Amino acid sequence: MSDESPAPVADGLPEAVVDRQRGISIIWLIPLVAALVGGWLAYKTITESGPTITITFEDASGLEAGKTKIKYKSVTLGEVKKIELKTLKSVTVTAKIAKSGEKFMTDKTRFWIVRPRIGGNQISGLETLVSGAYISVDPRPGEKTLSFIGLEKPPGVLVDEQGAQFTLHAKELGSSFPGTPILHRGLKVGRVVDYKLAEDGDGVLIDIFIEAPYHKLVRKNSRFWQKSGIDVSYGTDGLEVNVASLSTLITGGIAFETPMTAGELGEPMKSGAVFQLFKNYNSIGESRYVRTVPYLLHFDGSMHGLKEGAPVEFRGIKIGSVTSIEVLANPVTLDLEIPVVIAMEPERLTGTGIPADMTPYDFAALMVERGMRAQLKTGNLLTGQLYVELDFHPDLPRETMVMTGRYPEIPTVPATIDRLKDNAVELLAEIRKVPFQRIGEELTETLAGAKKFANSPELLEVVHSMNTTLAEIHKLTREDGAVSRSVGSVEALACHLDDRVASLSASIDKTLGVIRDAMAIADPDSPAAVNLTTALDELSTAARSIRGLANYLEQHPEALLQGKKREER
Amino acid sequence: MNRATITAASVALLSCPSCHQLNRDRHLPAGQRQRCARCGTRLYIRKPNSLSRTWALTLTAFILYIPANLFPVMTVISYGDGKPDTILNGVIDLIEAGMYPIALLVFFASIVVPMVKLLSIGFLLVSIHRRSRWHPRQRTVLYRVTEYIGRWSMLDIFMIAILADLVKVGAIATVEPEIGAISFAGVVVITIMAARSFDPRLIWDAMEENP
Repeated sequence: MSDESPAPVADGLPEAVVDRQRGISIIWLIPLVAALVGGWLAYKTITESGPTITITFEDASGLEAGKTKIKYKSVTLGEVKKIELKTLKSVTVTAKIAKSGEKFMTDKTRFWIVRPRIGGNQISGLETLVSGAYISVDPRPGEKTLSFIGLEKPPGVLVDEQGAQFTLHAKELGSSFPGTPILHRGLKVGRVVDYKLAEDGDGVLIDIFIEAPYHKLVRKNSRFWQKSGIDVSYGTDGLEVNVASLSTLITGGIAFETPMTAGELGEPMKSGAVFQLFKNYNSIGESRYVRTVPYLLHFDGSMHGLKEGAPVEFRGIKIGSVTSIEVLANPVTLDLEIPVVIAMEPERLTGTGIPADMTPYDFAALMVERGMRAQLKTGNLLTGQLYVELDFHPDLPRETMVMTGRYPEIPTVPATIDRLKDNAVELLAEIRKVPFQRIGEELTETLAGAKKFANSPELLEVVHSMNTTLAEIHKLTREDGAVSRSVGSVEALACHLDDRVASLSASIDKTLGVIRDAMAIADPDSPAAVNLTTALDELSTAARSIRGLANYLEQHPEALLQGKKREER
Repeated sequence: MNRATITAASVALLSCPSCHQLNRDRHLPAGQRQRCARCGTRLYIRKPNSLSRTWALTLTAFILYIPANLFPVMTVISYGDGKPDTILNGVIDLIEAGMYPIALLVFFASIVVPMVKLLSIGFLLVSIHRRSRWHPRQRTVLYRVTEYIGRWSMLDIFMIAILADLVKVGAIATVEPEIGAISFAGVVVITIMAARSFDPRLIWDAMEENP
């Protein structure tokens, strides 16, 4: 440090202590601020980051790690971070969920991939054509979880939809697909959600969703049927074609109604209730009732004409059907018997005041004690088809329902047809006794006699002499004095005629007697005579109407083509 | 090192950093400043508080480097779909798109260079504190390189600024700057400031002290 010192004068003096600047330079505020900002950013990021979840899908087509979003109502809730193939059967998608979505991650929450879908009645997810697929979420409250199994197709009902879900049991799927409308009086009130084969393979289970407030219209006795779009029926009114709305025509639909009933109006049904789905509106009446209770019947006599499926009726109203007819050998009595099993549909009996704990069998036992009996009846005289009629016969001796074999047995009474048949056989025997041949012969004889008389020369002679007489009378009127002679001649002629007439009337008398005899043989009160009269009456009525028809056609031949015109008033 | 024993400081001279005119040091008390007699640039023997300033700025840059890389720098929305991208994501996207040279460029300019700068400044600071006599010449080269390449990292920020301003086609394409871009700009600017506040002459000061 050999340098020119600016002050070499004060050599012996000590140098002043240099006060070095202490403390922290203001420059250190910069890293402090940066640290604060960085710390705040880190805090925000950590508190705002939600959980990481895994979703397993069968197929991850359209998904892209780092790109695909998880959305609910178009709001992004998270993002796919990783797509892995954990097993050969499924794809595991790892996704980061936003903090706001954390509370929705429960075991009830469902995820599915939204892709463009084009169905018969709806096109959805079109926006994904441009933006790519995304994962949609249906959040539901439940237990917290972080791993999910994704759905392969969108769920039918989302959490925010109000309404009720029911299941329809159908024989065949028909045209029901997810999205198929449910109609009530032509108004769309819901849709088909899903369908699957029933577990026992007997039919199809169709899940439907009815939107609020229409779900309250579904009651216990509501009936659902498939609407095919076009209904063609041919009946007394002619050909009738009903075409439903165009959309129904294309996609089909399911309609329901709650019928007016004399019994209680059912309660509005809760979600999950099962209904039967009918093929069409007309088939509702045929098989509305699902529950059946079997009974056993034993009839005497021929079962000819009774078939499985034949109706069981109560005063003409179907309450069940015949399910089986077998021939069984009875080893004890060494007899063959034909037990008939019928399936009654207890749901057809509606009524209030029946104790809830009363089983259909208890009820039937009570009815049997009151005199209910089964009887075979002829449903169709032409084909001889039989059906089972249940009715009360209070005049018959009391019987009780007993358990024979597997099912309780309802006592029977002999068929009316058997009694009728016996009567008919007797009637036929009576008719056979009538000597139709003799009657015929005698009638022929009488007619021959009448013919002989008409052709007899005597009659010719009479006519001839009358001619002569008239000529003479003529002459007489001209010649005086001849009248008295003529009168005498007329008198003689009259006498002669008298004789002839007497003989003729005797002959007619005889014929009448013969006919009366014939009539007497056929009892006027006998069924044959009555039937004959009825038949003749009917014939004359028919003839009259044919005449009327003929007259009408004569006047209006165009009626053949156009039908009868309504009369103008 | 005999040739180097005479320095401007040792003979009470101040070199002007702008016009390189030698001025005599007036040895003023603290608080008063000296200027170049020729061009008026402020003169110091060494930049005041150089080390502590450089340390502070380097630390700031280090802190900002973390959000700059972890947070997205921009969001590109095209056809209604888009996501925020971090710098590294952008590099990966470029690689996936097959644009390797650009990916390499972005990777170097935006990730490697700021890191290298921060590390070299840090290394220089530590070496000065330890009065290291290790290869002072190469350390000076390191400083020069650091100062020179620093500004190139602003490329990213300029690009984002231009894109965000120009690409506003509504739903079809929109570019939004994100918080990472601000952090990144902070890193670049503060690193430049740190490099400038560093006085490379300090590297050589240790050589004058006799071991």
